[in-house]
Amino acid sequence: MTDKTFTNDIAISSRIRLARNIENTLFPQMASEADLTKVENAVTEALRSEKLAGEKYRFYEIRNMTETQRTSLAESRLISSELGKYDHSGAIINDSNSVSVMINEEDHIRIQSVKPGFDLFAAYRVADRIDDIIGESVNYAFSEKYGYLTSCPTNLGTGMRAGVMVHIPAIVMKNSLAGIISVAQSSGLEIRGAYGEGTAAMGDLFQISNRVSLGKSEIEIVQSIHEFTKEIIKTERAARNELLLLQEDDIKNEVQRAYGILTNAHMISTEEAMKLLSLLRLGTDVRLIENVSPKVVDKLMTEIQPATLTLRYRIRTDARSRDLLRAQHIKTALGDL
Amino acid sequence: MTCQICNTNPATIVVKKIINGEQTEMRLCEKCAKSQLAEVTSMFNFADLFGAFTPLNHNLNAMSKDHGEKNLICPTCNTDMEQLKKTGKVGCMKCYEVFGEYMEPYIKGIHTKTVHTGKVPKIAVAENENGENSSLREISRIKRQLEEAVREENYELAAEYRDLIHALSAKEESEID
Repeated sequence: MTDKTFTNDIAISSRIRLARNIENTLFPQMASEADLTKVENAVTEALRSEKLAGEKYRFYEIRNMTETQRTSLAESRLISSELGKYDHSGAIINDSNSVSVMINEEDHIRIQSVKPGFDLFAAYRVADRIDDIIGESVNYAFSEKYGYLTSCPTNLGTGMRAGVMVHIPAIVMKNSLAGIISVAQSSGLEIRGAYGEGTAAMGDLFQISNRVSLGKSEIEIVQSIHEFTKEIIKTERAARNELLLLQEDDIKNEVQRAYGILTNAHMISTEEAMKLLSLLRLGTDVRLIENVSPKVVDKLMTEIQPATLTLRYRIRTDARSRDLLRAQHIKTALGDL
Repeated sequence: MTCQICNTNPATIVVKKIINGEQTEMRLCEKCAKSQLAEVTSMFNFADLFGAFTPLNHNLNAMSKDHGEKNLICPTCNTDMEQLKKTGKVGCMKCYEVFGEYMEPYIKGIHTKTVHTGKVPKIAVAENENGENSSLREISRIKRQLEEAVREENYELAAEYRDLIHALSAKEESEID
């Protein structure tokens, strides 16, 4: 068993984001329409398909998209919910959804690379390559002292935000999160709910990321998150073992009830579904549930989000009809196995 | 019950924290309780730091007062001090030269350091008078980290460094070509 398969039950995905701006062009906040158009053209030109070694990319122009299409991309974490605030904003996204380049967000360019599981170094190699490709035809705003110059000083230096999404239900159940959050803070890192904030984080999914981007190299930042995530994985595994040892019947009961509701409910809200899917994910990880693949559960966590669900079924967008459809969708996904 | 932080030693101490009226309770071993105490002290610094995030910081406010309340304006993008304080964002790359002196404590508050040590874009490398090559510098730095990882028998990490060195070396060669 390799280290990666051994950790992918807890680390769901690894993500790198690089913020870049074009030299001598006003940042989106102050830019004129002509500036924003120039940025849009420069980036789409820099990423013309022949430069991307056969990978297929699509350009999503925000002005040509509905609110639902936009929110759905944000729910899948391919764009930020802020994209679209400025004119001529958009995103260039590859077919496998592993690379996304946002144009005219808070900065001119935001490069994002995602890898499934615990693979931050691989995600960095991809983002670094895309950065080089764009950098061949665009001169970046850069200073010797502050590094890559960004609209917000919180992103100065490397312009990098690196993050690992972890599923840590046992740590949450044991109320150990507060301690971990303060340890993260003292190491220049932070942990936030991946869907919703604080302890109300849906689905026990959390994002571990760096707070500091200046004065450390990209590799040092990636390494510190890598090491910290390893500790979180160890802690979560220990917490799971302890729960199974001391409260096996209670955990089995919770997991099987979650499975029961998910496969039988007629209507279900996003919040309830996320809570139950988290329990089901735990159940598949510790082999209490054998007939459901963890990948199906992970996919469901995105698919049941309101805009993504609406888009898939093209329904009226009231909460009640979504709850009905969500229950049907989950039943089908779990029943098809 | 075992300690909620290390999950190894038995919990002998109950640590109660009240932050912004919210009480949390943790059962810890003696060692982790001590480190928690140290963290609480450092969290006060954090509170200062977080204060600095909205709406930009009092340091900046104080600094502009020291300089006779003059409202600096960036000649390139017309962002002024008031706007910078309100939004916390600069309008263009030149703003960092115009407001740099005033922003330095704020930047230090966020990052603790104020000098970039990471990647350098190619064009900037060409302009660097020392002619130092950034990817060669980066390769030798990663090599040191690779040796460190091997020494610590962290082979997984070592393999990651090896891949990075290969990727960077390939890039280097293609540049020479």
